[in-house]
Amino acid sequence: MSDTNKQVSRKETQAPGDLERTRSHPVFAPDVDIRETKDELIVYADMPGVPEDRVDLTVENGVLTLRGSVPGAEGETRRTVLLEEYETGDYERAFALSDEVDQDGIRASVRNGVLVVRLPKAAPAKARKIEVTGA
Amino acid sequence: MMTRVNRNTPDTVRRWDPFSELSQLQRAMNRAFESRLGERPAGYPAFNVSADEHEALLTAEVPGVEPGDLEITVQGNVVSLKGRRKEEEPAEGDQYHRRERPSGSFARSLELPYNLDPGNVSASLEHGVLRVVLPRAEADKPRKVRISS
Repeated sequence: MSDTNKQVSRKETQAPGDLERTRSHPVFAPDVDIRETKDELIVYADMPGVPEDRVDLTVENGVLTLRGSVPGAEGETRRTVLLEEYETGDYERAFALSDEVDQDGIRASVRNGVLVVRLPKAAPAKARKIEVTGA
Repeated sequence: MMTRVNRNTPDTVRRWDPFSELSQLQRAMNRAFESRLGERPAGYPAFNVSADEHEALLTAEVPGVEPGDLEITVQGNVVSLKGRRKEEEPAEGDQYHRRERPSGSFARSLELPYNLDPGNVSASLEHGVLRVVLPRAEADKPRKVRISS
């Protein structure tokens, strides 16, 4: 049986501030699972087609931004398209991090097109002793 | 518009709307196939297929699937894909804040406009993208016809 409906609906992301992107390549928000364990938060993001060296992770002002870019398709234009149920494009998604994340300890790995980001929880803030100087 | 049958009163003549029954049935069917937590409905994964006179190329995005969990079969002009995507085993006490990714088993077949040569089918899985090269059966390749004059 041949399926011609678009089975996968993907949300295209908007650049912050509704800016237009200069590149015409579509950018999608990857599907994510976010799991909280006792010691860490783990983000699993589906980014098929993105090799490890094209993943970009940044933390700035408490915001974690995941980006992945897909290398362009090579020389397949000589074939006729019979079916196109999904579009390829880059990926981008951002998350606000709470104070409980130890931002210096963030680690990430990629396997089978899935980006796994581990965000360790910060050790509970030690009570800070404030010295009171007397006059 | 739903027609409810009131069993307490004798049958009365009601306007029977067969289309509302059909759309109710359709909705029920859709719900039956709809995602339980994280699973995609029938039709996963999405396919892209392109072809020239020698072969077809089928690609599908299957992130998180190990090569050993995929099975591709070719028969006649049909290519079938079966596989499963294992999900992580959460530990007790773990909590999910988001659960958007599909998981579980999937199976899909695609009928192509020509017969395939099963002996020369090749497939690769890289970065979660499956690429299957499906050569056309020799007998089904286009032949040039000489025009005799």
